[in-house]
Amino acid sequence: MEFYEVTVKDYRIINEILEENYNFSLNDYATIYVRRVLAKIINSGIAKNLQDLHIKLYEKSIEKEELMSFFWVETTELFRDPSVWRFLAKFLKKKKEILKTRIWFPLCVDRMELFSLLILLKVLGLEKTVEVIVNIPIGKYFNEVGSNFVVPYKLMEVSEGNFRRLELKTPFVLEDFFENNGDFYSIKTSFSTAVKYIKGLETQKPKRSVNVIMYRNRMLYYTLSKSIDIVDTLSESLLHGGLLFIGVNERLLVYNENMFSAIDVNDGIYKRK
Amino acid sequence: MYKALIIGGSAGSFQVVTKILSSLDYKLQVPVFLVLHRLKHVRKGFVESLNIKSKILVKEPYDKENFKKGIAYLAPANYHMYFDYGNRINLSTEPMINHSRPSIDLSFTAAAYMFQNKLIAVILSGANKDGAKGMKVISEFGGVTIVQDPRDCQVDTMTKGTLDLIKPNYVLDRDGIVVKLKQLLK
Repeated sequence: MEFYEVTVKDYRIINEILEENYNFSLNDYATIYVRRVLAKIINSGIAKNLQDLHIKLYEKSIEKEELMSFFWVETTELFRDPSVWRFLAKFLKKKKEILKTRIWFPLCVDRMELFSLLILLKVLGLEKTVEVIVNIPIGKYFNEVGSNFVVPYKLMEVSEGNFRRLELKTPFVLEDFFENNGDFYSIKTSFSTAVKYIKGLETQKPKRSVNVIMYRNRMLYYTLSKSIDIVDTLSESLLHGGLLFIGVNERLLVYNENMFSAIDVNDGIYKRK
Repeated sequence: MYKALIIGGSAGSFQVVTKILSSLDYKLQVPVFLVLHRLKHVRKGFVESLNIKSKILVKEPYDKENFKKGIAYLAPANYHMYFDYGNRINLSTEPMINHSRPSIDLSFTAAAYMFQNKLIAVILSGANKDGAKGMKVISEFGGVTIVQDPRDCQVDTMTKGTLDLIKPNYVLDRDGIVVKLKQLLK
């Protein structure tokens, strides 16, 4: 089962339970994606069917974090869309002389995106001059991102190819960035010590405005109106002239475009006016 | 009257897709969705190549773009492609399925739910079985299923995998597919 057929009535019931018991609403999510998530939940065996899910949610027998984990989608490779990272590398090199650059991940469920940045900073020698702020929505991920998460070895083959396309003239030596744990690799703990974490969603803003916001492929799963609201919120934390990175196949809507000028629409890079 | 045409393919399908696109009426009354396995880090060139001979515009959609009749939407590299209410295309970066992103199974299944028996689906040459399950769902919803004849495929794993699961409405070679689509979409 790839998608779950859900009637309007069922949708309403499940949403009411989620709002009441979990302080969480499906209304922000694209309908097709909700059907996909429901299919994933049923396929996982947590609930036998939608009726069973109703009961389990009503009885609160599913932990919120477990439930939320079905809604987050991770990037599965390092340096996805190399041209974007190449642009960021050039931008950061130019800003090298400026005292402190702040980069914010407003919704980090995505180790690979964060790890990509940490590796890039290390290679550029900027790990001490760039501050990375990361919003982690749930505790489970806080622990995993904050410490030492394993990365299946197979992914590294793709990631190595992406890294080469950054044209940094630095070879991708796994051991420079990852520790070997037998069949798996984990990112070196020293890489993540400089990261500042905020526990919460996109609405939890950093105390000070930032130069760069990395929000790639996160709006895919939201409704249009939610996406507009989020970009509006993010723009408040972005310094004038700062950069917003969204997914290469995402677009800012006209409403949000008033606040941004496009640097490269095909790479999803916008500048705060 | 059909509401959409969806085509899936992988290795060896490019020439057939080009042939189909070059034969479609430029006043085509349905949208066309192309879900083709491709190199995920190559984002430029594919659409341009397809547009050279196509009679209708071929484009990669951006997320939540409204789809329109007479346009072919090619699933972007490294994204899954779904269809939602309000004639919207939704993209996703969920993990690969059948080692593929875009996954033909996912797009075909989403299209089956959306267009039900008003859908025409074509599965072409390919080197894995992605698409077979999607064709089964389309068949169950009453959509028209067309499978490229495995003898006409450069690589027949995809079409044979489909034929193992369903008895399609038509098994045709590339010329036969072009003729049949013209009939169905007239």
